[in-house]
Order: sequence, then structure tokens, then C-alpha cells
Amino acid sequence: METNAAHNLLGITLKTGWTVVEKLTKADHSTGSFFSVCYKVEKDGVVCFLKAFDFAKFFQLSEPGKEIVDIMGDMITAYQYERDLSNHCRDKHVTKVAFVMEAGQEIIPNHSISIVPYLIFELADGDVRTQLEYSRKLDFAWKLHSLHDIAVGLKQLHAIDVSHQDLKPSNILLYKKESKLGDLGRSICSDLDGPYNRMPFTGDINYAPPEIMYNYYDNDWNKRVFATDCYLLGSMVVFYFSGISMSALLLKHIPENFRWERWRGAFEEIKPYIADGFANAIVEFRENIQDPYFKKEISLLVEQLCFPFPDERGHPKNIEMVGSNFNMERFVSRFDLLKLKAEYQTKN
Amino acid sequence: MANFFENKDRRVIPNWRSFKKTAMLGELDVPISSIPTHDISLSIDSYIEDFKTNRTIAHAGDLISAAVVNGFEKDKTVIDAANFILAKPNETTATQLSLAERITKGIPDASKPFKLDNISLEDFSLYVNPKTVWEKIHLLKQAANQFQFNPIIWVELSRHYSIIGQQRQALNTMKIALQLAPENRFVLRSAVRLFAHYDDLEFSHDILRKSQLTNFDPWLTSAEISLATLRERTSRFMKKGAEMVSSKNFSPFSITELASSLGTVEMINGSKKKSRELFYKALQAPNDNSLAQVEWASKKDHQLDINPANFQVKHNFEAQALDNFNKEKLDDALTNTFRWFLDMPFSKRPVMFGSHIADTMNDQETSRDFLKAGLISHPNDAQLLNNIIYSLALENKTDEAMDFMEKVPPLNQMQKSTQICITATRGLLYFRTGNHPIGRQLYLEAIEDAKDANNQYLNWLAILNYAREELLIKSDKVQEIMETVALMQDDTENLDIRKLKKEVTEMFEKQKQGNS
Repeated sequence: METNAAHNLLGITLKTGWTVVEKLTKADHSTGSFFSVCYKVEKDGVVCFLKAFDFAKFFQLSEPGKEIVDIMGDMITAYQYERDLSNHCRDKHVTKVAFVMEAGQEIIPNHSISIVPYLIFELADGDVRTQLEYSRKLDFAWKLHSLHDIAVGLKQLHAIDVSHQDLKPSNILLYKKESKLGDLGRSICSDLDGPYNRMPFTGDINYAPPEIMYNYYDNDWNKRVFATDCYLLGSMVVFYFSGISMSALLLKHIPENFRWERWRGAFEEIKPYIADGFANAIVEFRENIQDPYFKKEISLLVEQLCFPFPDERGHPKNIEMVGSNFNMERFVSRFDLLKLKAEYQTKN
Repeated sequence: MANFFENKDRRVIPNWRSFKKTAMLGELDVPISSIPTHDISLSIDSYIEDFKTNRTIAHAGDLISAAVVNGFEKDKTVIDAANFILAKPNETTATQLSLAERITKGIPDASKPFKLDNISLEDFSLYVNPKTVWEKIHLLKQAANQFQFNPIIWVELSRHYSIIGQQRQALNTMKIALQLAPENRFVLRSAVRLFAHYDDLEFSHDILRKSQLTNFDPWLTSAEISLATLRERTSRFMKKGAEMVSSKNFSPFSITELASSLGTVEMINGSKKKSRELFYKALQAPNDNSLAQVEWASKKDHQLDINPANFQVKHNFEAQALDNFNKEKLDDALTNTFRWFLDMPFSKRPVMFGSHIADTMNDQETSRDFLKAGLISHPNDAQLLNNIIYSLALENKTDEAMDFMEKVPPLNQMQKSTQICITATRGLLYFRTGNHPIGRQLYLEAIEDAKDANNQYLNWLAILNYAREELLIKSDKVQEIMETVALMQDDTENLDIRKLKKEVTEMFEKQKQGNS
């Protein structure tokens, strides 16, 4: 038997009325949260997904030497924040996000830390990686449909001043034909005082934009966080069509001496070299798409969304307009058009 | 008469290679050694766990991406994921396959020998082909058009234009790069080299004087000092440069060019002790440029005794070739000069040196190969054309030589030394076509001109060439000219003079014996 309380929920009926019916492995859920234990829960014939916050894992990931009480406090804050942010989004009519349906905490006796906070979500069919295939032409329309959903989700979040910050394949959840953004746990909102609001980047560093990798942070909060989302959306496009992340593709084209962990100079100094790596990355990316129209349009989207310097990232027309570089509206329209064209091609 | 390689004045002007190669050589690294690298604790455990429980191409792609971003390419599960991708080529993308291959095969190691290290003269026609440069220009133009924001592409385009002698295009594209990245070391050093290459020293110097970076970046300070010296001015960065070299803020490699540049100034000013100190400092971690500079300086100051082969320096072909030549290892000198030329195909120095060595070895065909290769970047260059004509005439290929003579620009458009050579070469052509009086008249004109220009090297060279022609036709002028030849010192440092004098003297001796 696992010694952590979060691992011992199976068979229990929670105070919220949900019965824990199955413990899920990574293969089954893939929420992207590494400090949680996941289960299937059932109530009134409805099956949902439960994310239990695992104190032991939280402890492992915390700064060495930190007091246990403080770590517990951090975990509770993270739990509350994700719950509140989810409610905030739901109340503001966001639709393309996997919401918290219910939240609670359970005391599991006979454990050193017996309290287990949890969140219950609608059960997804899986994350996008379970669906993505790279050889089938038929998947083209599906991919664009999914990317359109993601762009809409981001647009909705941005409209209420929320930046997702952690967009990556494991956080794109599939619900039949619809894709939704999962895991708001690392998101930040200007209206909510969260644990991450003051951090320059809150998401997964593996998907972080180059300015973050090279330690450059724009002081303007809005500019910084929305530029990050813009890049992350572009990185998803890259992953959907090339099978690797934009950051990996970019680093593939940057000389070893200039890798982010080796570079000791300022971001400004390395910009020409990143620009060169980026240009070569786009050339390589383009070769993964056969159809000339989609090749041109999709690589242009990636170029605008993932441009390595935040000031020049976004749609060119938005860049010209002060203060709205990262407006998703134009990208949503572009994905919509591409999706429709791809669907039309598939049907004919 | 050919005017070959004059190793008189060398300055530490930046060498100009492709961006990729320059980066690999470490010349674009941050010079200050005290700035810490980023410290972010990273983990790809969740990606590893995901792949272990979901063996799909997408999960494998996600894992290898995270590994590349964080430098975990050698992790066992990452290699497993890469092999998983490689085993299913029909279910993956070209990008996934290429990244997976990079993980399994490893990234090219900068410490391994470069391709040029293994190239020999036999590969001449394979590597000296303007068609490949044109093809590259076509691709670069497309890329520049699409990625107009990328200064590196514009620099590369400029370099390729300079390789095929398209001066206007080379300068224009470099100006675009300068506008895009006016404060970048690679762009600035490339621009400086290009404008200096086309003899616009003033503009080249201005670029550096106006750049803020020249105050802080020893790689640029060095170039500024060298350009000021070339313009016979005193650099206002001398003091700053000396402080940089004596401070411990910079890595030895990052100040190597600066130390050799300062050492050169001290040498010109006659401070041999100071210059030696600086040259030895440059040798603590030399690059090819500083090593070649010290090798050059060692000819002026014999107490500077260095062997370039003792230094582990990439692309040190120039220094090796000069050293080989000074030690009269001519085969090695020729091979290293060919590599030097391929490394710097826009430059005339390796062309002149290569043809000079080949001529010294009586290998006229190779000498002409170098010169014709030089015409790619310097079309209608009078000096190159002169040397080709000279080489052809020596082999009595007078028709071909006349064809090249038609391409020679008017005398008033060339340097005095080249004018002298052209006059002598015309003399040679007249001798070889049987018109001896005009040939004689032209040679004597060249000899006088060289004397008037106080150019002893050309004067002697003209005399020896003229003597050879008179000997070949067994004229009655032989005795008179050989008396002049006899006055020449035998211990001249110019190998070609020594060799030609020996040949002429032997011919004369043989003729004397035949006559007696």
C-alpha cells in the first residue's frame, strides 16, 4: 500500500458523493500535472476524472530545505488557485477549457499528511498525443480543427485577462471531436492574485519561448505573458505537423555554443543568431507539409506566432497597432479558414 | 615577369568564414568569462514516464523534444524513443527522423577535424567551381527574400557575392546586414573584412569607430587598431585595448587577436620587447589569424621563434603554409595554401602565394590553376592576368598568353608594381614570339622603372628574367647582363630570386662551357 494519502483513494466515497472507481496510470489520463494522482470517479452514472494533489510529489519538487508547513501551504494555494481560476473562466463564459466540475478535500486517516485536496473534471478521451498521427493525410483537417479549438480557447482566456502559459501536447484534451485546453494550474490572471503572478514564466520550460530560455523578460506583464501564449500556440502547430516542439526545432538550428544554457551574454547580443536559427527552422518545418497552399499558409502562421523576439511576434497587422500584438482574433480566423479548406479537400 | 606573393605587411584584419564555421571556431562566444550561465533546474521525468506508458510516435516526439531542449540527449529512454521513431519511418515526419538521428548519432563535435583538413590538391577542380557558388547564391537570395529580418543570411549572401567577384552586390547586401544588426560582432567583423577587401579602408574603419561594441569587445577593438594602423593613424582604442589585454576579465582566446594587433603596432614602432610580450600573450590561446600574424612577425623578429604545428588551432592553414614555405617544405606549403584558399575563397593572398609556391616548384600548371581560381573573385585583376600570361609564355604557349593579354586593363588603372610586371611580361612575350629587340626594350624599361620605384625585389626579378631570355637566344648581350646578375647578393631572403639566379647562373655556366 502506498504511504501517501493521495494514492489511497480507491473505493472511497468522497464527501462530495463521488465514488472513486479506478486509479489511472499515466497512459490513461495524461493531464500534464506531475504532482497529482489521478482516478476515475462516478456519481449518478456520470464518470469523471479526479486529480488528487499528491503531497509527497509536491514535497519532492519543492525547494530543498523548505519547511513542511510551507510546502503544504503552497500545495493548498495551488489547489485553491486552480479551482478559483477555473470557476472564474467558467463564469466568464469560456468554453474551450476543461473546467473543474467540483472541488473538495478528503481526510484519509493513518497518514502523516492525511489531507488530500482534489479537483474533479469532465473525463477526456485522452490528450492530443494519443490521437496525433503523422502519416495520414486524412488527419490534416482534424489537426487544423483541433488547432482552431486551441486558438479559440486562448482567445477566450485572453479576453478575460488570463494567460494559459502551459500550452503543450499533454495539456490539449480531447472530448470526442472537440479539443480543450487542460490544466489551468500554471495559468495566470491579472484579476486573481495567484502564486505564479510574479514569475516571468510559469509553464513547462521545455516549451518556453526563446526570450525566457535566454533570461530576457519584458517588464510589461501583458506583453510578456501573452507573447508567451502566442509562441506556445505556434509551437503546438509545429508539434502537430512536424512531431517535435518549436523550441527543439529552433535549438536544432542554433550552433551549440549559443544554446541557452551555454550562452553567457545578453539576449540582445544573440538575437541575430537566433533569427538565423529560426529562419532555418521554418525552412525545415515547411518540408513536413506537402500541399503547397497549406505549406505556405501554415509556415507563415508559425513564423508569426513563434517569432523569436516578443516585440515582433504576432500578426503583422496587429504589430502595427500599438498594444495588440498578441490578439488571437486574426489567428482564429486564419485557422478557421484553413480548417474549412482542409475539410473541403478531404470531402472532395 | 610575375609579381608574386609579397609578405611585407600583414595586419590582423578579421578572417571571414561562414557563420556556422565561425561559431564552431568559438570566435562568436561571449568574451567575458565571469558571467554565470543560467541556472534552471530541469527535469524530463514526466516525459520519460509518459513515453514508457504510451509508446506512440507523438509521445516519442514529445520526449526527444524535451531532451534536446534540456540537453538530456544521452538518457537511455530518450535514445530508446529516438530508435522507436527511426524504426517507423513511414509513420513519422522528416523532422522527427532527423532529430532522432541526431540523438542516436550525436551532434558533430567541434573538436574533430574540419573537412578542409583532409583536402588535397588533387581535389582542385572539385572544389574550385563557380557553379556551386552561383547555386548557393540562388538559394541564399530566396532565403533572404523570405527571411528579410535575418542579418546572417545577408552576410552569407555578401560573402558568396565576394567569392565570385560581384563587388556591388556584395557591398549592398552587407549594408543591409549592417542595418539589421549594427551592433553584432559577426556582422561587424564580416563587414570590416569586406570593405577592407575592396580597399574602402575609411568606411571599414568608420564602422568600428562608430560602434559601441568596439569599446567592450576585444574582437572588434583588435580590428579597429589594425585598420587604424593600415591607414597610418593612431588608434584611439590603443589604451583601451592594452587594458583589456592586461586585465583578467577576458578569456585568453578572446584577446588573442587584440594582443597580436597591439604587438604589431609595437613592432612597427620599434618596441621589440613589448611586441614580443604581446605576441606571446596572443599565443596563449591563438586562433588562425593571430597565429599567422605571429608567424609573419617572426620573419621580422628572429627572436620570435614559433612552430605553428605546435598549436592546436583550427584552420591555421595560412600560418602553416607560411611556415612550410619558410622551411622550404614546398609540397606541404602548397597543400596548406590550397586549404587556406578554400577557407577564404574571396581572398587574393592565398592565390598569389599558391601560384608563387607552384612557380618556385616549376609547376606552371598548378601555378595557373591558382591564378585562374583567383580570377573568379578578382575578374580582370591585372596582377593575376599578368602572372597567368607569364606562366603561359614560359611554356611557349604564346597564343593562349595573347588571349589573356587582351583582358589586361590599361596601365594607368593598376598599381606601379603591377605596371612594372606587365611591362616585363610583355617583354617576355615578345622574346618568345621572336621579336627580340622590342622584348629587350620592354625589359630594360621595366628594370629602370623598378629602380626608379626603389623596388629592389622587382628590379632584380626583371634583371634575372631578362637575363634568362638573352641566354635562351644566346645573344651578344649575355655577358653584360650577367655581370649585373653577379652583383646580386646570394643570401637574399626571397626564395624565388635565389632560385632564378641559380638557374640563370647555371645556364650561363653551361653556355660558357659549350662555347669553350
